[in-house]
Amino acid sequence: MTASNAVRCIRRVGDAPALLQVEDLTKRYGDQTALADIAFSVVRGEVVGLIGPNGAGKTTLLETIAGLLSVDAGVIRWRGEELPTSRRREAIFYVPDGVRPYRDQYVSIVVSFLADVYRRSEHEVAAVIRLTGLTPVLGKRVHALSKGYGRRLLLALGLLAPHQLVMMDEPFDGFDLRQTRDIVRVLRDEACRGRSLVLAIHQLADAERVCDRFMLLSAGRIGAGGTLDELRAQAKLPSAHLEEIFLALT
Amino acid sequence: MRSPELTASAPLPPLLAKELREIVSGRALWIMGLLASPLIGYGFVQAVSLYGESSGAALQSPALATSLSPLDGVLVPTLGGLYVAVTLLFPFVAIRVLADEKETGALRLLVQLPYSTGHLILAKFIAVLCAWLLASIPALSAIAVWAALGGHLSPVETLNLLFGHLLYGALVGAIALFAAAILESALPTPSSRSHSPSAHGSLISRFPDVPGGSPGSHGYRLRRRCARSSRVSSLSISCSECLPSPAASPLSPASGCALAFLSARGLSVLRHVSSRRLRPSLWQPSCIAPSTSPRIAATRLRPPISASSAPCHVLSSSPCISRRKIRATPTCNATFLPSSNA
Repeated sequence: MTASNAVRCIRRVGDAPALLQVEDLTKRYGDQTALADIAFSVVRGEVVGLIGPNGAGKTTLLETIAGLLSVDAGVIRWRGEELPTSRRREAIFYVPDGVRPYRDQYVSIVVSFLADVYRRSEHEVAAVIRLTGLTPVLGKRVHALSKGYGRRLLLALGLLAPHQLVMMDEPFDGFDLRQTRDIVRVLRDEACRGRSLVLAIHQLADAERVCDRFMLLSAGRIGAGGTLDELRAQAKLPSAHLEEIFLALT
Repeated sequence: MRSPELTASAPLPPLLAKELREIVSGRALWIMGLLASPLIGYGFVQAVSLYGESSGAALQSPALATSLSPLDGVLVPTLGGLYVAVTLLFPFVAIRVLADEKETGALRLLVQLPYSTGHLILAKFIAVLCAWLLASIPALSAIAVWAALGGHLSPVETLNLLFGHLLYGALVGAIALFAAAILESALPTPSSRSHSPSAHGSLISRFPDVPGGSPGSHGYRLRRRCARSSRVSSLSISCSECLPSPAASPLSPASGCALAFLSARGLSVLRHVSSRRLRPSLWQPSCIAPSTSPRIAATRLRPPISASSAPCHVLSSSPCISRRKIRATPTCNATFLPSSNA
């Protein structure tokens, strides 16, 4: 994908109605507040980055949205209607971090399991395998995969899910620069096809490459949110990178 | 792009196939089979031997003969080995069905798939039952050998016995699944990933439960950090926050002791079997009633003695004789085993 294509996708995104709305989400662990009054929205074909340091609450936020964790307060809306926890998996697919699923199985079997569950055609499966570069390791067992290929496998599982909104926790963890650029291209292509992505990233340079909009998360609160230009305006740093903006706003 | 509603249901066969693949590809099931086979085999050999001797003794006592039953004398002791194996080892097989996915985080993917909770549990339970079936192959083989030797098998009684063992296996499997569901960390199963270079090895399962053990939580990160720090040596943990003490998981020493006991028992059984010369007569029919029954009579460990004039005693359910009956046929042309005082 060229930069101009990416810009066209972003412009189209700007006019789209909200697909997912998170309103006043609060999550507590005993006395500790992990998330406080989180509110943001995601539109169709948009890549939203949850940016924050370790312990900011990115994973907790994704898991509460996915319905894997209960919330103390807040509402998740899907196309304007409240989406109960039991129906989240119908609309949202979450790819967790640090997961090596079914380690004794071959990669091809794991991929075809999810493809069978979601009734994906062979053509679609082949396309996902090609996009994620899993072809060399299809005959390997999952436990024998390197960190990068393990991450590619998770990415493939996420792409095989037919959901309109896919959330990924640290999708670039384990990739080198070239691999990260390849995966950024894959994710941007998915967004241009109309799929929305919410990515929890703590590597700001990677986030800047792939995301349309950013939510700066710090200590369980959203410090600031918007496109890079909007964040620059809020931080009053016209030519700053995301790293400087994050430090200024949180 | 499909609408979210289309992901509401999914076919069950891929889930079942996945569960079966998982349980078959793990080491726990095969280790159980490896340990259970000599146990069941030894039980079978002993049962047949004792039953043969009892049959011989029953020659002189019709009252004793009426109390002899292959069900009680052979099948129950043989399946006793399976009972021991299921009690001690099957939980390690069954618990893996769920604990592995909890430990690797795959459960977080699984619960997002378009299956109801009931379907997920059902698939896992079916996998556990299939594992029991595979673990029962040695016992079923022993029964088949008994039948091939001509021993009596009442279909109703045998099926009833097997059904009871199936129910017991299902109970053990259900308890193991329940334990795996409520425990935060997985038990150190025999299938602990000694082959895995990742941070999710068996060492992690020895860590104490830390509140909030889900990925992203403090406990989860603590485990990963500790695992990384201990990756150089699986025996030394430099991370001060980790508790490598075996006492941290009370089930670890218990299960270790159980396995050690079973291994020792298995070894002693093997030694006993190898030291005791199993004579060919064990596998030969002690008496063949040529005209009345094609079935085989009781078997014995004593060497065969040729005595064509001695009476031939048949204990069988052959068409000529009802079960639990001993009767003397007039003559026996084949080699047979007389009773000790004959």
